[in-house]
Amino acid sequence: MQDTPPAKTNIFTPQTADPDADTAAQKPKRGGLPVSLSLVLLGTTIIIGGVIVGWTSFFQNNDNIEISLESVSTQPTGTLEMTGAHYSGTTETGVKFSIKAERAVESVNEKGLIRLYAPDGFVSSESDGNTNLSSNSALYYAAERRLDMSGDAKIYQAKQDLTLMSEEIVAFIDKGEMISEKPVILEGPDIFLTAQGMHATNNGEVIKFTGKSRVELKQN
Amino acid sequence: MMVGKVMKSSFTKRLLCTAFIGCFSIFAAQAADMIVNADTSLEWNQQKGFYEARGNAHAYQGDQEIFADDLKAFYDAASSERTITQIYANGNVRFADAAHTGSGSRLIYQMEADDYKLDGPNARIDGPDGKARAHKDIHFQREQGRVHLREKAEIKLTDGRHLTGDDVQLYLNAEDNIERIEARGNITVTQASGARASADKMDYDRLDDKATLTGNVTIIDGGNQLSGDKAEIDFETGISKMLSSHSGGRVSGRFTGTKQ
Repeated sequence: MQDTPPAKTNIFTPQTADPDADTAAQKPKRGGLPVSLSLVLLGTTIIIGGVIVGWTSFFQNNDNIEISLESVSTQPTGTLEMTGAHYSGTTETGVKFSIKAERAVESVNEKGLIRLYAPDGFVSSESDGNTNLSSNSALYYAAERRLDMSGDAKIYQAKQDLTLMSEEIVAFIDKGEMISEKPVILEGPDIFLTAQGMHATNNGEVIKFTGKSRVELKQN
Repeated sequence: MMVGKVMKSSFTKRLLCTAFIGCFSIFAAQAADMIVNADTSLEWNQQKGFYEARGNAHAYQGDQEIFADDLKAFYDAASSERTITQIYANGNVRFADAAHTGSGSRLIYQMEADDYKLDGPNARIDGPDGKARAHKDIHFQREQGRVHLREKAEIKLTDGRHLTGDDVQLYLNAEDNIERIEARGNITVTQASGARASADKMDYDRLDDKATLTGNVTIIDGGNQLSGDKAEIDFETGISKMLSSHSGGRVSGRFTGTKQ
């Protein structure tokens, strides 16, 4: 009779320090600081090459999210820095998403907050199809599934060929909401709109543009 | 049997010329882009199919424009074209096109039906041929061929013809010509010549170009005056007939000879 195998460690689950864990696994990887088992596993997986791995902050609310990376490093401060990051999955409300970033940084002091550089991605639903999101940089708040996009932020909805542009856009991916307190431009085949800000709800089905607003509506 | 008096009067023009209906046709379908401005907010609701502009809202299309505190433009949410089908303007409404201006507290305009309702107080429309006023509302229904002015209604043409009443309805034919007018309550009709009639009720038929006035009727033309319960004014011949009512009312008249 076979012995019961040890329980599998789920790398998609946030890890806590295990006093019985292999001490070798807790040896500092860089700068002499200890890293968690999950990060070691993460690093190992990346070294193996391009395999999809899990990362704690992204899996705070939902296990059905994946990440692939080109490289990962940890700073002496505990900050985790990745290049070629690609997050994808499905949120709890069923919205599929995929976000790529040239660089992604998570500070140990701001757990659950990921800084994304040159993020470019999409969210997707059956009713609205793909909606692309891009900006120069972004902050991703894992707990809220919130993406604060800044610098040339663009949201493009393919179904209606609509592009929303602003210097800053905050997207609540789970809720299907977007907010901007900076001037916005909405452009499409039969609409051109400018406003001082906006609040979109219902996955963009309802958009309230704020401040002085102007819209040109093409009429057939 | 009715007893009456006859007077040749200056009521020799049609009560309201047909061109006047142009006063009410303030909007026309245009293919030009529609532009909407707002100071406070602009909502685009794709679920219900509308744009709502709040705060000094201003919409214009070609030479037509509407100002209001708030404007709401509806389209068919199921259609991909988003062609505007209805406009609701609320609060301090003003509108204009190349030839007309108007104002009121609220405007509901159904673009496809070319139907609009302009609410008062003091709804007004000014056109090249004259102006229309109503305290409560002015309702133009092209499909029904009807214009309804409610409360303190007034239609005044630039040539001096003038109709007032508590409630005035104009019925139009397919060519937008006035076929019939029904006016109720405190009616006054004034012709460009100065001839004037007042009554409780008036019905005008364009086919025979005659108006029937009933209830406390008075016709004043120059120095001549007729009073009675019922009168007929023939706009073609200029002959006014004052008739007594069936209930035995009397007709009175005062005629002043023309000085040579």
